[in-house]
Amino acid sequence: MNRRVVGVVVAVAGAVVCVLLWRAGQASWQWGLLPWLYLVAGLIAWDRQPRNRTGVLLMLTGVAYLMFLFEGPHVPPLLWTIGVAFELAYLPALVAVLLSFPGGRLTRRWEQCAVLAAVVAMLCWTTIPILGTDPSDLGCSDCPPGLNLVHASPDVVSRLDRIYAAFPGRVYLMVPMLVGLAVVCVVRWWRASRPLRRISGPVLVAAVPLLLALSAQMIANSLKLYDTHPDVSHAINLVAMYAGLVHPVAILIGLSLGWARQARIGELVTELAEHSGLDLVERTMARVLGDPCLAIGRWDPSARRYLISTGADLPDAGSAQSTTYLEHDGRPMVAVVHDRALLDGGELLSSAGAAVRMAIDNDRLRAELSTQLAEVRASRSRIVVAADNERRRLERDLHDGAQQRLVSLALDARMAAAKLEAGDDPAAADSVAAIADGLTTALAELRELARGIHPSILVDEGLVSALRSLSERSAVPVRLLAVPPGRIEPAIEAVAYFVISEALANAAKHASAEEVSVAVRRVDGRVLVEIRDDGKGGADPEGSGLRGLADRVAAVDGRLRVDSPPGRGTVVFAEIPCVS
Amino acid sequence: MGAARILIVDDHVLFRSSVRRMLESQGFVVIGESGDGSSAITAVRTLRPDVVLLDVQLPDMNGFEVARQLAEEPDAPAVILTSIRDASDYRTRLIGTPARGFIPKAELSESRITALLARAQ
Repeated sequence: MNRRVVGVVVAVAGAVVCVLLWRAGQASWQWGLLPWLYLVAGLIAWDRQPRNRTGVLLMLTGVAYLMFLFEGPHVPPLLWTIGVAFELAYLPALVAVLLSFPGGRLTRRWEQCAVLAAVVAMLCWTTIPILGTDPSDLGCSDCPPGLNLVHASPDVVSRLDRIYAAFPGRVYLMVPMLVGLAVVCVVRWWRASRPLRRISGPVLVAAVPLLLALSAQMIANSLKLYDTHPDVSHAINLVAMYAGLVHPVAILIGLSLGWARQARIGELVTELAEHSGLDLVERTMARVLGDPCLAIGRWDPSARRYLISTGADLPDAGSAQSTTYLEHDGRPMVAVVHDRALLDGGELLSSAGAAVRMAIDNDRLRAELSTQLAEVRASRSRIVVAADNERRRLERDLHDGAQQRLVSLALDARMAAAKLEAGDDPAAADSVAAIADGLTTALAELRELARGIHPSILVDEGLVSALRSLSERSAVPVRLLAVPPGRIEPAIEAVAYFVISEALANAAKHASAEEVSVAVRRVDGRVLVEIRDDGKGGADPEGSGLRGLADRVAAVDGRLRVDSPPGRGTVVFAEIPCVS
Repeated sequence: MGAARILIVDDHVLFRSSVRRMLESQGFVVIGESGDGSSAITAVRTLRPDVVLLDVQLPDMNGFEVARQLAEEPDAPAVILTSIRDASDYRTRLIGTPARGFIPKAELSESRITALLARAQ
């Protein structure tokens, strides 16, 4: 069910309970309002921030204050007893609310001990004694019958009495506790960072008078001022009551100031998403969190240190500071040195951390993207240059090879014709035979050239036949270890073929290899091509041939790796994604 | 004038031998062969040919440059440029050259050479 509906229902129910109990009891209307105010403040806080336990603690405090309404002539005996037994339940609740503000969690050991001490005090002063008490002992005419809840034997009762007697009087323990709590509140406020001070300011203003008034009340009761100076006693009671009424409202105001600050995290996220230079992230986070000394360092994987925007090391946290480390996929990403008080800010730091993480992530992705873009641009222009070079090479091959041969043949043919004209038949016959041989050679050269441009066997019969043909013509013996039998996408086949063809040419021309092994495998939607020779190694992956191959492989989203340690052969490895 | 004494300058051995056979069968005297520009200039200084059949595309320098340098020699020989390409590939360079003329390799013949030499004189 909607949280807000639950809240409204509980608030209305609380109001009904308060009114009913107030009418049944003897308490003034302020005592009827007090628990309900805490309840409503708690519900609002819970609605706004379900993970912050302050809301729940405020509601519990409301329930604790409800105990005061349980005392009265028309209250059922069980409720009456519970009311008396937990009369002091507001004490641990109040301690917990104040010490855990604003995060709603008791993070330090002594804070937890303080709450526990308050619980123990409550049990020893009121809960334990009342369990074994007989109404007649109290001399209480209004008290309902059957108060001795445990129906304990006199033996047990006397033991409970001894525990009660052994425990110091309320005034000796509670007054130092309440005054100490007031001092802690003031000290915390004094030490807090600027934004935290703003949040806890209203709470301080309400809590200190309340705690002091409760202490005064305690002392006044101990001195029995209600008999000697009823006016003073009444005045103290009034201050305590009104301070109690103001307290939940003040807490709500303090929390709402925090919510307003948290809303500014949205602003932080937007700003960081727009420009995500590290220095800007740092400035924005310092401003939003109100910590001018905040510093952010980005993890440098090569230096293995956190570096700030200027490139210097991130300073160590000072005595009043703390360092929060943000990770990405388990890897260190960013460290933030900040005021220790920000740790008390509940989810604030983690929200800001998430924003920073996102911004830094964006920054990283942007950097990666621009690197990739630069790489694509560079490889695009290299592909154009490579294509131009290829055309120039073709022109030169044609010029130096087949064209020269054909021109010579043309001259020879013309000469043969002249010989025939002169009637020198035997010489003409020799010339014609030489011309026929020349034509055969020229044809073979043209065929080789055409195959270099694009091998027709690859298109017609696929990689297996093309690689067999290539290895038969190779100057170095080739062992074909594996070639996938079926057809692959033509563009991928061509890339694989040219990688192998270039690697074989390199093995013969530059590596002085004695044997080359070739393997082509299809694994998980990828084509893996490996050419391994036993030559002298030391190939330069940045040389124009291998660079051109890498570009060719990259053009189909693949990767080329060349491993060529001097004297230990060369391995060319291409990995090409292939969906079909 | 007796049979013209010719120096053949071309980096392709096959072509040089074909053209030598053809020229000799037509009555020319081939007095030498060179595979590149600089050795051609040296050969001209020592052999003193009447005609140099000069390929445009040579490994060290192009034929136009060789022709220019030969023209500066005392008693410069007649230079006939030739190439696997045709004249349309060398328009402006052919206009400025001191060579006697240009014959594409595929059209080389005694009659074309004789015609060029006669026209220029």
